[in-house]
Amino acid sequence: MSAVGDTRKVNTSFDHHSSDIAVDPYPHYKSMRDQCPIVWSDAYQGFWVFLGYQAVWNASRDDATFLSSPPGVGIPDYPIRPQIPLETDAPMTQKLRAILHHHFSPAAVQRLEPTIRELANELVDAFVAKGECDFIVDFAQPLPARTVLRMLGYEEHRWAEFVDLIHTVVHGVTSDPDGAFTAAFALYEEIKGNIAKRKEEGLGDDLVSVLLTATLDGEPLDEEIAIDYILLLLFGGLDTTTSALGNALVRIQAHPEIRDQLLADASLLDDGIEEFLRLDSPVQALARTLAHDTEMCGQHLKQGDRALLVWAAADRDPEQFPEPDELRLDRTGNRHVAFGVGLHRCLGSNLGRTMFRIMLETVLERLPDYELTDDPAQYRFADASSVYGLHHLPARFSPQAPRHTASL
Amino acid sequence: MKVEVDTQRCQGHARCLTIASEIFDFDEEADRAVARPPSELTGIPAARALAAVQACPEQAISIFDADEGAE
Repeated sequence: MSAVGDTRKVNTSFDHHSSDIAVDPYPHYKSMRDQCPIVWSDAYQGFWVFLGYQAVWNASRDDATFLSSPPGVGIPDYPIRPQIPLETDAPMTQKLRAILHHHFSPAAVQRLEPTIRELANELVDAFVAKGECDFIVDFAQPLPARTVLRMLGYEEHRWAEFVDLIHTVVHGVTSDPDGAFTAAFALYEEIKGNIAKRKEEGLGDDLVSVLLTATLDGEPLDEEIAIDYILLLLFGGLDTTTSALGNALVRIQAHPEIRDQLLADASLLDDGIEEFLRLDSPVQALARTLAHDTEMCGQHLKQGDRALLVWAAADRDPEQFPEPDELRLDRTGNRHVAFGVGLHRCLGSNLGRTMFRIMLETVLERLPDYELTDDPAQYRFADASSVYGLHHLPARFSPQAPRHTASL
Repeated sequence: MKVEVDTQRCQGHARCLTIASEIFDFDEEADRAVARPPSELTGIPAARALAAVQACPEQAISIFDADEGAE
């Protein structure tokens, strides 16, 4: 731990995309954070790595100094169009979020709960008699994908195609930029084609229609901006929620006492889901760009410098969270930043939380004795920096008869 | 008990609503949490509000006159 007033710059070669950290990035964050809340990495032409809770919090809330506009939130730059409204700054960010925010409000999400729960049970019904499943492919991918596609007014049965394209973009931005670009373009064309069709057939009350009839500064919202917005709803809503469930199921398997507690009292999930999100955040980090020179933690940051805000490292900072690596279902004062803080707080955080909780409740209720059959480490995505999660999670459990109770 | 949400700080995480829906409400248009007026908070233990204060990721909630609430 560096002393107060210590201005020594800690140099590292930290590479958030490296497969060396993909299985468990946390010891890497710790060893750097123990030296200084902010370190320098010489990877990708150099960038600051924000690891301490207070440093990440301060930077994220100071959106006049730490900008999100292009080059944006990726290091290195993403080979795709700007993500809207994530890669904008005030006051544009608020104006763009205001177009859709009431569709993601606590009350709006509450209205969706019955259909999300119905979908969760329908998905479990499809495999419950077999006594085995792949939690990711059979459950945690289709649930958020079908929910978000429904909200957008897209064909829900095509969820797997969308998931494949989104995976290629989200997980390929650094390792396979050409592939990511091609997939992003395919999604762009898909959305553009759908918009044309929608205009012809008449608009409805789905989110695409809301965007197509929205205004910005008194003018109709530019269609290209609408397309970028829809793309981000797909990127943001799918992989992240899938990963939250996968990570939680791995935790529960590793801690039988946690499973017992949750099976005895499902209301422990009120605080518990926040603890799962804190410990294994699907979105590990997002970048900013310095608008002007500033001093933080004794470091001199210059205008134009890139800074990677590592939410996941902040959420394991012992200065903020006692016993930070421990899962405590009843942890109080859990001000975790898994959804970010400040202006760019995840627009879909209420929806993501609700889908995550319903999935977790459904697994605990219907498959309480599930056992993961393989070491989950082998199924981690090779690049944790985009989304820290799993692409497969095979499990077995006591087979049961499907309920088919859904009022379809 | 009087509870206030700083609307400049609040970013609409809605953690306070999950923790203490009897104290907080949500302004859909502004995408911000709001505290119910003191007249609606009579008899609610201050500990409920304190739990929300401690969980707010933006540190946007303040409690005043906690002693006036039922302990």
